[in-house]
Formats: sequence, structure tokens, C-alpha cells
Amino acid sequence: MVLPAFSEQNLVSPKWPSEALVIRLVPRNQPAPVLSQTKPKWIDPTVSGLQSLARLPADWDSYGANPVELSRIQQAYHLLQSIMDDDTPAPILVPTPDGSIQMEWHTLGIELEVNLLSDADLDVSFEDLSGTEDPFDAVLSYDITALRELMQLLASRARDARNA
Amino acid sequence: MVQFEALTELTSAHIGSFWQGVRDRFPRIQEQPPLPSVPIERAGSRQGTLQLEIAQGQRTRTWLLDDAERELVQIQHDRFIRNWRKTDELDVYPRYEEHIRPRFEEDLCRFVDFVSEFRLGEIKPLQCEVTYFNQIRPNAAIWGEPCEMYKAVTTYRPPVLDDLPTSYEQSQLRQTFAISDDGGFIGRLYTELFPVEIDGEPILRYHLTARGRPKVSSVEGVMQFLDLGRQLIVECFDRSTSTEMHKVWEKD
Repeated sequence: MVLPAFSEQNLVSPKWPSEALVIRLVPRNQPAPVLSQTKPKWIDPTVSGLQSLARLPADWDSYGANPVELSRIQQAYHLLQSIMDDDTPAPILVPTPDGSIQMEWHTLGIELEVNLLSDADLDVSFEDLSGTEDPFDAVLSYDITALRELMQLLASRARDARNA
Repeated sequence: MVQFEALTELTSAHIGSFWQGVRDRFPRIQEQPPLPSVPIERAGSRQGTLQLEIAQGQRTRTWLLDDAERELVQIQHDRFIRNWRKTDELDVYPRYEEHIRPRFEEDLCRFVDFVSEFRLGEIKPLQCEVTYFNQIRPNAAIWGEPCEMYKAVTTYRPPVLDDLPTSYEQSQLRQTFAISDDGGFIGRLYTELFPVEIDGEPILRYHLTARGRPKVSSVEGVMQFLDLGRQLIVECFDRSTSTEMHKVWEKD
């Protein structure tokens, strides 16, 4: 039998990359406009969800999907910290076949989806099932004031539901 | 610093190829852990006190250094950084217009061309940053202890509590300013001021960072933002330090 000089099996560790990957929360070491000093309830389930997404292998949907990009994991966390109130419910985190993440809220009469299109661009789709608020569909990049307002609405309804 | 869409195909081998082209100026090379992700500066955003750290052995940051280790280029999959460091007491800080700016632009252009030539993607600048790390040394006539730091940096003057059983010791100050262009938000200016002790001598560390998006996603746009950021930093430093210190530094 002629053996190949090397085989892919000897070069690629089956443990790579999931076991080499460590995701954890650490104190912020860069200057940033910090407003919240508390650890909101949504953080732990969200970080856990992001860890699960980061460990998805290629072809996780059996249709050739890409693994989730680590830059998207970071981006999702940065974005949520930027827009979430302490009372905002944690999002449902959905991987997309192109290696990105869609964040979804289907609760309190609100349908909100935020898809990370690139490091800067977000595709935002909002509908208020109660009909009180206007629908909103837009791609946002460097100004996310509109998304922040939607999050405040979500947090407000969560507080109202808790106090009812 | 310029931050761009991550180059997923960039490997250490590519960085090695890039190094060959600049090795005459940067003969030393080192590998470092990658820098953590920097959030995009956005209008309406804020940040909490905890950041997400993702440690993965696959990616690294490469340092390219000159012989004196004053000039430093840092490259990782989503960032290109250039630093000047004071390594000798006699080193004179080089001027931005004549030294820092042209060298940053030259090396960034070379890297952008390299990425294109090797078909690693396209450098699409998302945001850029300019930082000055200042150290303000004591002057016997003006300030000598951290409790006198407001005589050097006038931004924060402590309340007078001399009639109470307390005495002022020191301040640690962080400030943020929104940066706008044509009335629209494009980034933020950060300042950090804090006293430290080095070899028994009190020193004020005064760090100023301007970070934001280039008006156009190109090297030209990056340079425009860096020019603006540097101008804001110089003005902020000038307006927050005392006239007494300006005389010591022989500032006009």
C-alpha cells in the first residue's frame, strides 16, 4: 500500500475550533460612554446563546451554511449593550446561512428582527401587533437612534406587564 | 488606527509576505494576542461596564518594528495600527504633519494594495482612531502632588472643603464628547486623566482618543478623519491645560 506523504486527517484537529474558543465577560478596558453600571438580566442568557452560535460547525443546516463569524458574535454583543435597557427581554439568536446572526423579539405584542448585514449595517424590521406604533423597516448604520427607541418601547412594555 | 471589515482569508503567511516589502524599515517582527473588538461609534449608542472577550488561538496580531522600536505597525484581521513610542528620554515627539501622517498613509496604502494584490478581499474602513498618550510631569512652581493636579489640568477643579475634616487628594476623570460633521454624528472624543507614580515621581497621565467613521470609506476618508481627530485632541489638550504649564512647555 502506498501511503500519502500526509493526509488531511493528520493536519486538521477534529477539536478545532470549538474547544479552542473561549467567550467570557470581562471589565471594559477601553473608553466608552458607559451609562449602565448594573449587569442586566438579558446578559447571561445572551452570552450563553452567543457561545452556542460560535460553536456551530460549518454546514450546521445541512445545506452548506457557513459557521457564524466571530466578528458577528462581538458585533451582536456590542449592539445589544448599545441599545438594550436593563428591562429589555433577551433576544432569540438565530444563525443565518451566510455566517451572520439575526436577533429576534416576538413578545409583548412586538415583532422585531435585527439582522447583522455587515460590521456596520443592520437590517431592522419592526411591527407592533397592537397597531399603536407605526411599522419600521430600514437599514441602519452609524445612527441607531430609531432602534434604541424601539428597544425602549420593548422595555417599557416589559415593565408594564410586570407591574400589571 | 483604521478598523475595517474582517479579512477572513488573511493568515500569518500573508503578513510574512507583506513584511518582506517593508523589512528594510521594520526589521523586527513579533506576534501578539489580537486586540479585542472595538464597538462601532454610533449615534444613540451607549456601553455597559462588561465587554465580551473572545479568545481563539487561530488569530494573532503582528508587530513590525524598527530597530529602535520607536516606530510600530500592528496588523490583525480587522485592524491596521501605526504607533510612535518614546523609547529614550531624549526622543523628541515627531510632528504630525511631517512624520506621523505621511508614514501612516504610506504604510496603510501599501497594506491596502497588498490585500488587493493577494485577493484577500477589500479594505473597507468602518472607523478610525487617533490617540495621544500624554504624560505631564510635575513642576515645582505649579504642581508637585496629585492634590495639585488641577493647577496643571484645569478641566476639573475640586470643591473647597477646607472647613470640613477632609482634604482633597486626587481626581480621576473621564469625559466623552460627540464629534459631528455637517451637523451629523460621526464619532466621539474620549479623555482620561489620572495620576500615577513612576520611580517615586507623581505623573499625570492624560490620554485623548478621537474615534469615528470616515466620511468616505477609503484611505482618503481615513486621513480626513485622522486630521480632524488630531485637531480636536490638540485643541482639547490646549484648552484643558493651564497657562502656567503652557509657559513651562513654551507653547505659543
